Amino acid sequence: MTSLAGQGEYAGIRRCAAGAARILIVVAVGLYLTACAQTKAFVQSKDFERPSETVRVLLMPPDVELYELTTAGMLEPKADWTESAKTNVAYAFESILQERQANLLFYDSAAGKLAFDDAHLQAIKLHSAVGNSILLHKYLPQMALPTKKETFDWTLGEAATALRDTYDADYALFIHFRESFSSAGRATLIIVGALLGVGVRGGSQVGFASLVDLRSGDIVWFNRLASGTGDLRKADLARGASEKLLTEFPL
Amino acid sequence: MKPARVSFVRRAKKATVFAAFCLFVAGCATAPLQDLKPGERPALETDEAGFWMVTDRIEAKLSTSGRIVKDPKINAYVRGIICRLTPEHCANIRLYVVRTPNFNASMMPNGAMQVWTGAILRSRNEAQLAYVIGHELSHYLRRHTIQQWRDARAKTDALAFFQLATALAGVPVVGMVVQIATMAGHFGFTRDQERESDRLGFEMMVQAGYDPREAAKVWEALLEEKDASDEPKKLIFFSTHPASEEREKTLAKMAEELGDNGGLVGKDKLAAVTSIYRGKWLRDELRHRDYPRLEVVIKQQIESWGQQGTLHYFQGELYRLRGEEEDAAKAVAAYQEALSTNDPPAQTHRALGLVYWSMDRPAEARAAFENYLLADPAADDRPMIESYIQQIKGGVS
Amino acid sequence: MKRHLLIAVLLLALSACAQYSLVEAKKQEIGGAYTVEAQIAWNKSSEGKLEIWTVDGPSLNAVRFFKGLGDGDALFKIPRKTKEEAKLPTYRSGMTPNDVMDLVADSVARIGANDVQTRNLRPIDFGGNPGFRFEVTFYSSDGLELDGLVAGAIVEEKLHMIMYTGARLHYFPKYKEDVERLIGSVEMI
Repeated sequence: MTSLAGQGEYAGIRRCAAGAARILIVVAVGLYLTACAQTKAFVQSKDFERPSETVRVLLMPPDVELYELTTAGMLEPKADWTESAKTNVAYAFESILQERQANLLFYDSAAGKLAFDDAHLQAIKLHSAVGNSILLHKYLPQMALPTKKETFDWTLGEAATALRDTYDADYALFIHFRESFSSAGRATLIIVGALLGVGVRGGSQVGFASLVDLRSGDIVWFNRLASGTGDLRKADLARGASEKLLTEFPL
Repeated sequence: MKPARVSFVRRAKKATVFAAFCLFVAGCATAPLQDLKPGERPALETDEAGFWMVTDRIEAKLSTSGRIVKDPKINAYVRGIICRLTPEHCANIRLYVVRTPNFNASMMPNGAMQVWTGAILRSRNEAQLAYVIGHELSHYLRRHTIQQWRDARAKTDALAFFQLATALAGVPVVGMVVQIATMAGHFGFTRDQERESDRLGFEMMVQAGYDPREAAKVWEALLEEKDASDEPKKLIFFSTHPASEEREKTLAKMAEELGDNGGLVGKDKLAAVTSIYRGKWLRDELRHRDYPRLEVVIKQQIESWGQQGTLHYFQGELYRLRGEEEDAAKAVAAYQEALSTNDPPAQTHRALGLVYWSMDRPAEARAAFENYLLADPAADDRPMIESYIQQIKGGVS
Repeated sequence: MKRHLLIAVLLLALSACAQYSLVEAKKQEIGGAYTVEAQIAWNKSSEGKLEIWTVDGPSLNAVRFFKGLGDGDALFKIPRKTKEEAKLPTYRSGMTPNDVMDLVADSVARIGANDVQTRNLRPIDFGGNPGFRFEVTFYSSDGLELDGLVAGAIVEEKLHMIMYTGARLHYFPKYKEDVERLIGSVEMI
């Protein structure tokens, strides 16, 4: 009979990692927030050769959530904003990729979020564990792995074949966006605070994306975006953020 | 003269600021909500839709977490209780029987209900489980999550400006106190919401034809468990549910007013579905190593279900794992009690072997290990047990 | 000011996770208790008495070396105790391999793993001592399937144990043979 708070069970075996990953996001937001967006990309190989023919890229259901920052700084999830952001982001990626001779296929999650079939489910969960490891060990210098100093060789291995078989796609693209906006009260507080010389944090935009080669399972490209501005609810700004997130995109 | 004046000004400032805050907060209690209608979904632009969105994601994760009991029989049974309590809403509620020790159940605002196996294990009949489920359903139907959020948002909004003001006035201390008080309100449902759900859950179970006297007994048993626990304050349930004694009394009084309504208790009905899981779920409870508390749980199980092999086996396990003085002897007695029933788990022999071995009684240990392999010839740990027997033989010769 | 605060928070949080150092592919000493022969290079960190090696990150693959656990020692250290984690099961002298297997399963479950199952407990030679090994499967709290392999021995009432876990897809099988060789190469000091 507890509320949702009672569900916060963490994998202790990975608690340290998960905790640090969350902190990474906070720090990304806190330290890098300037007017301009910042990105940091990794590629598996500098010599990556893009196939000359049109490639098929499977867009996984974009993990996007938009929030309003209340006056006191709590985050209120916004369903309508999230809906339009998802539409804008999907459209932006489709058109950007089309310009790059890549066909975007959409992962079919219409059947309901709960109805992932098992082979895909574990591949997706593996991807999220791999993504967290990358964030932790590649973006936090304190957590760097000595054997991976010069390399970027994470993979989903044979797990990727489940996705390739269903969609006959060459690559899978995973996208994650979190965005928050100041409420009217928060905006007022920021102004009043500024007048009094007290810094009050406003909204932010954080994104991650990764491209998986479905033949080898390898993560061939990974990028992180952090920005103090942006608005995925607007089509043109969603396009801008998507382009930014695709910095050094190898296709 | 001067210091006194400063102090007076400070006090005056404190008092004024505090009064201003009280005014502020009094003005921000949010309007009460209508009950959720069957099949109702909040409009996309509402704050409530935002919480449904987030809980949809949490639900998707929960449903694929490896913690969900999939057995259709037990799911159908618990769902049957939900539908009996609320036929009009039951199609919109998704049930997750979650394999977790401890007494708990919860409800997300989007209609996802979690019932922990620890709560089913402790329910001594269907009426008790129905009360727990009714309580959770009330949180959902009364839309407590969103009510709680709106109150919290209004309070903290006021607080944010209030803190700027206190910072200006130079009285940060008051700000701190108020902040702590407000933050405490963030966690879980409020006491008032819990009281309301107690009452509504009770009314639902009565309406659905269950024996109302069983509701208070849920609390009674939990209190006994809490009182025994090594760390009563650490029990998740009680940390969010204060004043259990009061709630037990209130429910008992409400039942007394109704008298015997000839309602369903449903002890056998519950046992028919859940008894095969009792061993597995008791094993999960052992993880916590909270021995005094588990002692109470097992005692309550024996009171409810009688002298069963499984229950005595776990009684023995409790003593063997605790390993305090006299515990080895107590464990032996419990295992022997288990073996005297007609359904002892095969592991009882193994456990008896282990405890005899630790008591330096090799001959009896060896006999017990041999009995284990006879009782369960395909035992997964057979090679290990055979090596124990060899070691004992070596030691004897 | 805010930046400094954030950095302080970050450092505080990370102090629980030690930094990683390189483990070269050669004979390695595990905290004065035993040695193993590493076949490949690993990244090492430690959590209290526990030494952890990984290639791709501990949530994908990890070898945990428990060395000389004594009476009352828990297998894992939880940086922040939450209400439900006040008590982790502990090792007790006099435990048998069956008890150790339960200890591992319960400890892994207590720190967030779901549906923990153990199987195939059998005797082995562990660095010249009568030892044991078994397998474990579980789900991470996020629902990722993991496999595990545990081998160890109780020597003079102290528990020495090597536990390898990894994602069932790709990451566990990838280094399983290397870990088997690690276990086979144990020499007590």
